[in-house]
Amino acid sequence: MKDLRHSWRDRRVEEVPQNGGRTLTSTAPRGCPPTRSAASAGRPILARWHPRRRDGRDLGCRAEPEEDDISGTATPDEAPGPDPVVDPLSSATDATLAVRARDGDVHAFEVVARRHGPLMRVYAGRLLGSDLESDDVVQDAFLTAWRRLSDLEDPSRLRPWLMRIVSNKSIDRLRVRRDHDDIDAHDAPASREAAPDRVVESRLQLDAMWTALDKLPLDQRRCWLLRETGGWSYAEIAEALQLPLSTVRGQIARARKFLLHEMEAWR
Amino acid sequence: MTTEDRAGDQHHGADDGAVAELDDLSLDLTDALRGVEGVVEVLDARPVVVAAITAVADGIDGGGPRGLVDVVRTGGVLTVAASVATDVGRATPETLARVAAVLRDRAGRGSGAEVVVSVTSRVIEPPLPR
Amino acid sequence: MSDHDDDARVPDAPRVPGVPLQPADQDELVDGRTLDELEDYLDRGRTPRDPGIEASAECRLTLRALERVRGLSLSVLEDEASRLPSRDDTWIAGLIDSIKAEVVGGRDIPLRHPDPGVRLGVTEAAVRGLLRQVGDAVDGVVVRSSELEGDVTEAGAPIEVTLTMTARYGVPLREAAGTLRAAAVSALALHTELRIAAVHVVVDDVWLDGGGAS
Repeated sequence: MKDLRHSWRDRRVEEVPQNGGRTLTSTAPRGCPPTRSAASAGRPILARWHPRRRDGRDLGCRAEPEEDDISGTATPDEAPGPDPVVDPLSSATDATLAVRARDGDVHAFEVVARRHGPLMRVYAGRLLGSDLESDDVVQDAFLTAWRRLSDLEDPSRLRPWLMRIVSNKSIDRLRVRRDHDDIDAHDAPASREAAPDRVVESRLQLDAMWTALDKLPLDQRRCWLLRETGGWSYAEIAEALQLPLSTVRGQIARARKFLLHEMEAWR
Repeated sequence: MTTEDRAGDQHHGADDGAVAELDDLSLDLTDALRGVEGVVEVLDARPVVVAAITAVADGIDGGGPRGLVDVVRTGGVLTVAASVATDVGRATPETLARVAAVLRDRAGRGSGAEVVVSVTSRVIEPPLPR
Repeated sequence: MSDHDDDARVPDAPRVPGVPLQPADQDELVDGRTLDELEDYLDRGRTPRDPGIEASAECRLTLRALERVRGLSLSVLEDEASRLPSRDDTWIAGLIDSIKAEVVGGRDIPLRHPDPGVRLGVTEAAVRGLLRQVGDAVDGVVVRSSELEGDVTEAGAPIEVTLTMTARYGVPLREAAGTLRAAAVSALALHTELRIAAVHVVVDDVWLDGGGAS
């Protein structure tokens, strides 16, 4: 086993000598509720994810519910499968699942795939402009993720890590496309799952955003998503898409201006 | 003759009759192991390369079920290797000893060859619901 | 995962001291600031505080709009993902099959047998899976990973087991660790012949029981 696993174990320990072995705890002192990080809260994360903040705080998946937070409606495991009451892993945190999967637990990885697969598919679909290829890309991403789990230094950052991998796989797919034909020949309008009937302010806002994203030319949308959702830097995007940096900046500026304008009604 | 015969081995030079015999033996042993107390599942013990070749061959001839127990004859010695998943509710050492006994008895039957047996549990889990 | 320190705008043209940077055509100015500037400010978490930006109502409004649009980009994808029908789960079976074939066994842990022509063993992976199951059976405990230190291939060599677990908040940790330890020792005795010198339990996370998370 690689020593990497020790690197993120919290070193603030309280050592309690016991017969037969030590018990080390690295949690807050008894009496204090633990820091409600999203990772240990285990609640479904429908919060903003900003990997690029540089104010010294590692935000990772900090739970900052939006005004239109709909976290109450989604559960981590939507698919029919093992009974969540019987299956202790179906509501486990990403950190737990990541560590167990790295330990060899295939079932834990299955829970990961069910939990994050759908988002990765939608994201890849929007990057590629096609839902057909997004399935392949996501499957590929998960295979790579399984093999490289020991590279994941902070297991609570499983989701951004997976998004990173699927971004890379999508870019790879684009490169293959570029070699064969016009890269953006296939930009089918994104089909949308039928929305629930209830009309909520947040629902309308989401629909408006979806439409706005869909209206963007694919190259602008791609740059925008890679930066805003994938967390890539300008330079990384430029290199991956083989574009000059100034072009990438221009794409994102145009996308931003368009989206701001489209969403102005929602101020 | 020191040719190594392995069940599923398609390389030229091996005696086809002997290979087919080992194929049958592998299949027979696989079936037998499924009935052993404490065995939840019989896993593939064959080396990865052999399994891959077999998979391709299956695709070509549409062959029938293959054995998962690895059977190799080198000279007068028959080496048998099995991988299993064992029942979490029963002592694995005893389960594996039972498996070894079955392998040794059936493989050694009538062949006169010396039999060397290796059994590994790769998974310990509850038995699958019937 | 990677650093993004090259997020800083790279000017298109070399800067000439004293000449203000020309904004790209596409960038509007909001009270003298480009959208790029405002986005970078947002990225920095609005620190160190820029009084010029914070004093401008237009800038503040634009910052809010930017935040909303960025947040919505992710929300919209998540929302769509949450409504994907379950038929899409067929791809998972194929994925899991591929992965099962790739599980690394780890060291082979031998078991004794009187007949020298018989070799029995359990893989380290099997033992790790066993220890995870043991943890699953203890209420309020989830074993995340385990390690066997010592020469497991040598009969009688002392082995130290380290279990890393997460616990439900409120569960008395020492007691839970004790229960887990006892269960682990039993399970190892039933399925291996390892000489267990110690079982160390490390609790490295705690979960809150809002909806049964672990």
